[in-house]
Amino acid sequence: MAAPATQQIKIRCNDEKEFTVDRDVLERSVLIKNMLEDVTEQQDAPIPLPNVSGPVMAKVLEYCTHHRGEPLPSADTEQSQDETRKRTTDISEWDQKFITVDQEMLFEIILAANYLDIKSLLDVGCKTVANMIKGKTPEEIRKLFNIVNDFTPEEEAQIKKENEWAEDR
Amino acid sequence: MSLSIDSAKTPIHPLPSDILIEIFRSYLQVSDWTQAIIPGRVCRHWRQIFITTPELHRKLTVVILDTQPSYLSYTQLLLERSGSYPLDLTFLGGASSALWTSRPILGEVLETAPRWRSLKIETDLVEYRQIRRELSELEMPILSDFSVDLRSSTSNLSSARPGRALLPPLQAPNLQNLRLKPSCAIDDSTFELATFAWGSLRTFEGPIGDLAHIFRVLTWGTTLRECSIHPSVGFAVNMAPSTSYDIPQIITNLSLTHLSIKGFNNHTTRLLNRLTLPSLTALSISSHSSSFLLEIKPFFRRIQEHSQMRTKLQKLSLKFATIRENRGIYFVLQETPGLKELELDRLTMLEIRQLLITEWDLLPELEVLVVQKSDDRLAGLVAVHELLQRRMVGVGGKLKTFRFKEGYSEGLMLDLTSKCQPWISAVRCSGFAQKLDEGMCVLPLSDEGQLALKDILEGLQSRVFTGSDILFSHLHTTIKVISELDSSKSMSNGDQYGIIPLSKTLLEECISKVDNFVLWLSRQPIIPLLVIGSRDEIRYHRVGEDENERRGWYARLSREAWADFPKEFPVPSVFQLSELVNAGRVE
Repeated sequence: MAAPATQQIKIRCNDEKEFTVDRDVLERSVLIKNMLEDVTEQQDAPIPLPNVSGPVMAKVLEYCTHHRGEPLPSADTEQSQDETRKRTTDISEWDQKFITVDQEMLFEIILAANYLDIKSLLDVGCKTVANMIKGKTPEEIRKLFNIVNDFTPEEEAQIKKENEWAEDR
Repeated sequence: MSLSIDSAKTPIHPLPSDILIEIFRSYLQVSDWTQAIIPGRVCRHWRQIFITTPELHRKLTVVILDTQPSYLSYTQLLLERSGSYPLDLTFLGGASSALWTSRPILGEVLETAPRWRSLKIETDLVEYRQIRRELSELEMPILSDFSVDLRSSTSNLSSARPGRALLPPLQAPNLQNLRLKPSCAIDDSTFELATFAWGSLRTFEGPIGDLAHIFRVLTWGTTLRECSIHPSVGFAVNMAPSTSYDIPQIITNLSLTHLSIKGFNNHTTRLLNRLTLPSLTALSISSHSSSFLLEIKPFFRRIQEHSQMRTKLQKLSLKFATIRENRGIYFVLQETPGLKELELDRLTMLEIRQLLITEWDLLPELEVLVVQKSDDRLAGLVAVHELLQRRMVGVGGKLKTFRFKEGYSEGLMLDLTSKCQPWISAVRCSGFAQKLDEGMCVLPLSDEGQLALKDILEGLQSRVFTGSDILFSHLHTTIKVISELDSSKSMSNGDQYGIIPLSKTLLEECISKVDNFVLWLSRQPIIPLLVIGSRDEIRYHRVGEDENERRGWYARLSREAWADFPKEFPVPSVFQLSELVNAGRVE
């Protein structure tokens, strides 16, 4: 049976930082939701989240609190997922502001969303990175993310050949 | 795979492959097709993931006339990389087809027809006819979406052979969505030859050559959800099909939820009055004149008879070039009591006021009102305020969004959406709030206007406003939004207007002092309003009882414009204004 929405749950991050949060907020995370459903008796011990740090969890909880009560995406067929994606290429105003963070935090949030299984947050993160890449050349993308061009000369030649058509345009 | 140390340090690098794939997927959604190869050119790690994930190559755009060898091999490469994944294919053409016979790419691409999930053709008429011939031969077992967008061609060949094109006899048993525009149509042969199942369609959009054709689509389309039609070139008003198919006199379609009818004018009556659509939730009618609206009573009556209830319509859009009288619109609104969204064209605010304030019982559930044509007269502004007061903040009012699409344009109204729920979110002017949010608002004002506005803003910053405070101002101005403006830079256009840069921060600071804040600025020398209200109540506020004080207030804002202002006109409250309007004293 579902617990009352006001039940408070304690979680502990990998830096020992602890949060006490309303259950319905935490249940935005499918991982935690499943963990809570597996526990039959109320436990006082905090749920350990070894892959998330306190500051990142604070951001994630901000997101979950804002979106509490919204329907969770169901595990749909590939087609309906694709339709959903088509409909939601935009990021809402609140989400945009929320995700306006430095790169390190952005990728930490994405990793946390992936680990905690919060699909909507993962989507917001991925779309944000996609928007950052959009319209940029490979070199500009490398600069943006501090990625080293590690192609061998042979690979470079191959890529150049593949893209001759696009570059001619 | 070896990674350089620097690469490994970047915060993007530890992302697992499935997340990178998700990012690339999002990237492909927002990027132009010519940019689709970029992720594979950044680094080895990205490339490895990118080129080995077939799904990322599912969208393929074929430029029909590009005969360069490099393009051909590029297309082949993409086809290889997509593996056996279903393809979303676009044929892009339109330069016309002198080279068509060489079919440089099509041969390869057409062989993949069993993998086509969606097919979109954007080309001109001549080229389309060629493609149509090819498509007729193909089997497309998983094709669910087919759309044609024919553009006019500049080529001589095309202009020498004008006319319309027909839907190919598609061998697509799983077709669900069919969209044809603007000169690609269906005719009798479509029904004879097509092997797709009309009974599986969910969307039909396209020109109709004959009323009988749409009757047949609706008869056979037992799963059809959305239908959007307009007359094609050479439209005929045959009420029965020319073949032997038996179309009943009254067509009942139980699945259709969205119907859009454009340009049928008086034939709209003939169309609607043969339909029974009990599941309809959204109806859009666009026509020259509204004169036929009173004649579609049978359409609503039959829904009522069928389901023992009035329509389920929640969304209605009525767009007419001319409206001779409003009785027809009133009738339709009476028949649609559950309406939540209404879009009206060519009605003045006074007429809308008549419909939605005087007739308060009409549309009690209305949440969204979009008005396309309006007037900038004072009475119109007053009507807007009354409407919002009554329908939005008044007891029982459910209106949440009110939008002008023309008339009261972005130069007239500025709303600060995010901070001022729920009132201001409703007074949304297309795109304006978003622009404001991006940067900064610049108001070109007269010198006095600048000073006055500064006073107002300073006043706002030093005062907490309560429920019923509203100030009138007389700002003779236009609004211009410049994003990325540095507030430290002073700006001037050198003409009669100076410019005050109003930073977003400043406005936000102002707003933090009041629950709600709306700034209305008019280009016209009518009464523009600066309105400040609370979460619960919006009222015009007397600036002061003393006439001279009031005049002084106005004069500070714009002395010249004030000179034209009627002397006998009192500083109004909402109710006084409505009385004046009713008495015909304000126009």
